[in-house]
Amino acid sequence: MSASACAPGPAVKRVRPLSLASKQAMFAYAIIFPTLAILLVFRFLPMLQAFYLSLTQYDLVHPPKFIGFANFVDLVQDPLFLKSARVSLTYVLFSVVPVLPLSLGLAVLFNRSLWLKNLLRSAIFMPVVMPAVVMAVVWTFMYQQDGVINTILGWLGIDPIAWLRSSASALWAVILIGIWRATPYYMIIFLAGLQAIPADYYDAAKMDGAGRWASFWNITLPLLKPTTLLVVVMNVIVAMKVFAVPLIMTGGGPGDATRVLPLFIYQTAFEFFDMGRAAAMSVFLFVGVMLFSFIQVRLFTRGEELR
Amino acid sequence: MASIAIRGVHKAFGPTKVLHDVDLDVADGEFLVLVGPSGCGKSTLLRMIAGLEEVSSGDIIIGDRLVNDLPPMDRDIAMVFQNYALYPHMTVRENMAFSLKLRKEAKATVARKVSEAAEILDLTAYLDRYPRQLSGGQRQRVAMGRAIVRDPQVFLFDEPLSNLDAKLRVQMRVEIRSLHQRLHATSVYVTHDQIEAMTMADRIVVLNAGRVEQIGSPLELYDHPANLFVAGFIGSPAMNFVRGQLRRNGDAAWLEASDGTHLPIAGAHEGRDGQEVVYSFRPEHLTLSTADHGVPARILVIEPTGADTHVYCEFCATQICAVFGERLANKPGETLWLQPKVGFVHLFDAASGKVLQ
Amino acid sequence: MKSWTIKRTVSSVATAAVLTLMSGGVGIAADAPAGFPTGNVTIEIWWHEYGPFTAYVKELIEAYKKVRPNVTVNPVIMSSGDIQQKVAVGFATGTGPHILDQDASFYELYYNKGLLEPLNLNVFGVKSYDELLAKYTPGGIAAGTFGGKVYALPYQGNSMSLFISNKAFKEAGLDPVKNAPKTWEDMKALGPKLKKVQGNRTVQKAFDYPYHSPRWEMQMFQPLVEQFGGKLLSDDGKSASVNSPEAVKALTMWRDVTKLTGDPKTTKNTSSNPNQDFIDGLTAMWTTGPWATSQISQSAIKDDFTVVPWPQVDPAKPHTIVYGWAWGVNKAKPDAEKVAAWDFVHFMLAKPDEWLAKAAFVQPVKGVNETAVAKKFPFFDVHMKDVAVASWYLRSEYSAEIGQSVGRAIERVIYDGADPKASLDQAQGEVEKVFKK
Repeated sequence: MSASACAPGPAVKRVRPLSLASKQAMFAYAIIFPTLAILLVFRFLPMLQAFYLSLTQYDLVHPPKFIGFANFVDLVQDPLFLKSARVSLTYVLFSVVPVLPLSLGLAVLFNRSLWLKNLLRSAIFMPVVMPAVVMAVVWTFMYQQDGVINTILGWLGIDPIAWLRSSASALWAVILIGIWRATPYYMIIFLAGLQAIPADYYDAAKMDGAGRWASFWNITLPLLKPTTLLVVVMNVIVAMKVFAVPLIMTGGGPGDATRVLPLFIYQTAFEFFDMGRAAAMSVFLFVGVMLFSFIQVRLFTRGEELR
Repeated sequence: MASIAIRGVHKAFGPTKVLHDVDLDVADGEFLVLVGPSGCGKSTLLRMIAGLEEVSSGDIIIGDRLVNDLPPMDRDIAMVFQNYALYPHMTVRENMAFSLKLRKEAKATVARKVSEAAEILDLTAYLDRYPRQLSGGQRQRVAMGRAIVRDPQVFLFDEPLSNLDAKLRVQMRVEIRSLHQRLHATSVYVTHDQIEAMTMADRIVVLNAGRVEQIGSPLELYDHPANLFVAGFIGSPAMNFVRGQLRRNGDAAWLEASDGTHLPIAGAHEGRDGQEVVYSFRPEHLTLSTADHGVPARILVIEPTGADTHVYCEFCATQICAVFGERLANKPGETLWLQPKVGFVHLFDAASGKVLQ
Repeated sequence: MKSWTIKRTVSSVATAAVLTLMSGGVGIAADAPAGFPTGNVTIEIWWHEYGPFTAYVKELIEAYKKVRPNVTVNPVIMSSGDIQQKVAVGFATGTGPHILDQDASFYELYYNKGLLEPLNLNVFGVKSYDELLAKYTPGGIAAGTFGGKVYALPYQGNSMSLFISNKAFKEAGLDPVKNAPKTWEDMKALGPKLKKVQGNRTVQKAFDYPYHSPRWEMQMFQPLVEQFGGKLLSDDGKSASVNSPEAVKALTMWRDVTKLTGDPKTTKNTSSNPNQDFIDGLTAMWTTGPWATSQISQSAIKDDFTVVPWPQVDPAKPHTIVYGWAWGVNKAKPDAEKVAAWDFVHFMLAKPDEWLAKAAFVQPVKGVNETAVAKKFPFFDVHMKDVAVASWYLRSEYSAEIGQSVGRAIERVIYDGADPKASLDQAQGEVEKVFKK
């Protein structure tokens, strides 16, 4: 019982004060309310709307017509959609996996004292601040028959490769840009993760007889688990949403070699005016991302709780 | 077990010198405490012994090996860190076994050593917990367990108790001490807490601003501080200092305090007439006297601690502390008549801070 | 060789304007038409960004202010890549413009969805749609004509003709006029003479079809099918046949010509720079429209090029393509504002020679070729000859889908060596599915 409740005197109206905890909670809610409201209005409602539209036939002009799961049934039988999904998965797999060792490796490198560290760090960070459109245009030039990349290959005695003009290589060319763009970004995140590891652990590991490699393997990697999870999930989501680069560089071609799902969704919605079908594709994409993130989180947190 | 010798060691971080010409020896099996205010270089010295910091110049010898250029793992030493530095992703067992696993010891050996250490430290029940599931004291013990399992030549402690509350600190002090008595491992222990130093050390090294001020057993340091810094640093409540001039007349010697009061000095002290000195005595070396013999001291604060009474008062225009075994009924503002015990008075040269024998 | 630049042409615009009016061009009436708003109104116009075009329309907006002071024209300019999406969303949300600028092939879709306001005859000072149609070249506004009414007016109708680099021809000992290919067989024969390969690198192509967008691929494929006597769309527009024997012949020929003349893997063309290969001298011949003239003139090529009619399967039965962009009016707006909107469209299109001079756009209006600007425009007669035998780019509600499917079919054949018949069969399957919706 609180002290005020013990106070005598019938005239005193007993107001049960809010506990400190509930006051703090209310304050917290008040603080996050605007953000929540914005999220609700600009994120969740459109999301719900997209779920609804996926069950309709909608050409952007006439009111949506409810058609149940017809869009979904149709999509899973549509070779174009399945191809696009396959392209997206390939893109995600190969633009995410190499980024992990690359960005972590660079982060470890930059976490040490390094000659010209700041200059190099800025240079490496460039791709992140470069707008996707500019980047796509620059890379398009670099990939050309007589572009920088083929010129360098030429010095090595390798015949020029028709990077963007061959369905065999176009997707890999686009993936390479994804890696190039993502690596420095996640490097910064890994760098933050590395710097959050107290130096004591490394001192302790040194005393315990761990060399550089052992201490990386036994201390750094396990302690970077939360960071790694973040990087993988973020990177998967970003990779699943890749759009501007293939749109500008290949338009999805040659053929449909680089028509990732978001590009196909865009075409379906705004070139073919089939918003319902596009929404259904988005639902597939959404479920894919959710499923993937869920599996990731489960994999990473299995056995032990995160710190 | 091994002895440690430190010979003319200097350390500088860039232009900043943090250790100047440090020389000291740690005997085999000795418990040596490095004590000093923060920034005095004690932790740096410890880390140099550990091999976590390079030696700028001078030699560090463990046993009969010059270890200057040996990495920590080859020095055969263990260290307990201030924040314990327990690996958060490993269980207590894994934390303790880590060094053994790196050494590729047989599984059975590892298990045996870990359980032995756990038993010594009363950690057996916690072996499968993660550090975050332990209390501060338990973590502290795990940190020690991690050191013990390796059976190293030397133990290093870097302010291991500073994160614990006062009561636990006293308890852990005793535990570490009794552990040392059991293992007889050469130990170097860093602390800024002089009580820790006094209670635990075989010998204490007082460091200040990168220099060794004095080395000696706790009581040597307490009874015979070599300089004003040690005098002020060791002991709680701290030693009292009254500034003034040394006066001599034949065999007689006394202090003329800045307010003109005369205080008695045993005649045998060095020093010339008129020398600026600091007249020092510990709080317990005052006797209650009378107006005829004593010096007036106006009471500022009285702190009864139960066991004894601390009296803070103004004495020769200086604030001093007096500790009496008996309980006093006086109130602040009243005057006591006090007299330093002449045999326990230390005189320091005011300019150099060195003791006048 | 004619010596010509856009700048020089501008000075003759005034004279030309007079000429246009005399030749019975589409001039604006001094008095406001019936139903014109009396109070102040604001109408919004959206168009796709292209430097000279944007500058000219802005000029027109300023000029219109003087004629109709109570109407404010509010311009919104967007990239050609975005405009289609934005117009669609604008229609869907009721935030669309009064006047929209779209690729002519989209108007079928908008018409079918009932989004367009028919052209206001009164504003244009004609009694019937036939009277208006008569002012245009035959088929000139077919892309915007549905059910006997006109719904969209093109400000550019682009023929596609063959541009030849004189330098490349001369280096090969050829004359750009005499040795220009008249048929695709001629083209094949020219291939080995003009195509230059160094090691594994193609340094000069003789000719190439475009691959930078399905849209451009369709622009070539459609006339080729027609040259073989085929047709992609049924007359009622309710079905498409992209795998007819004629279409297969067209694609097979496309492939065979490419083998001898081109190198699809070596190209710098992009959607925003579709003529790059030609400008860079990477190809000796290239298909493009009159609008490319200024870009080419300003490049290293300057005026050292020749334009000839597009090659044919049978020069006796020529078929080419015309495509373009057109203005339309949003049906959802208030009546008075729609009158004002058509009035501004009328005003904008009144001087076809200015369009030619300032934006190098050819309006499919009769008499354009008589203007002074046209007479100075390089190879204007060639462009007119090709446009005379042109059909409009695929007009279907599903032209985007058909374009995508056919584009992919072409790329499968060219890049992956697929069989033309099999590849087009697959495309046909995709297209039929779209029509079934």
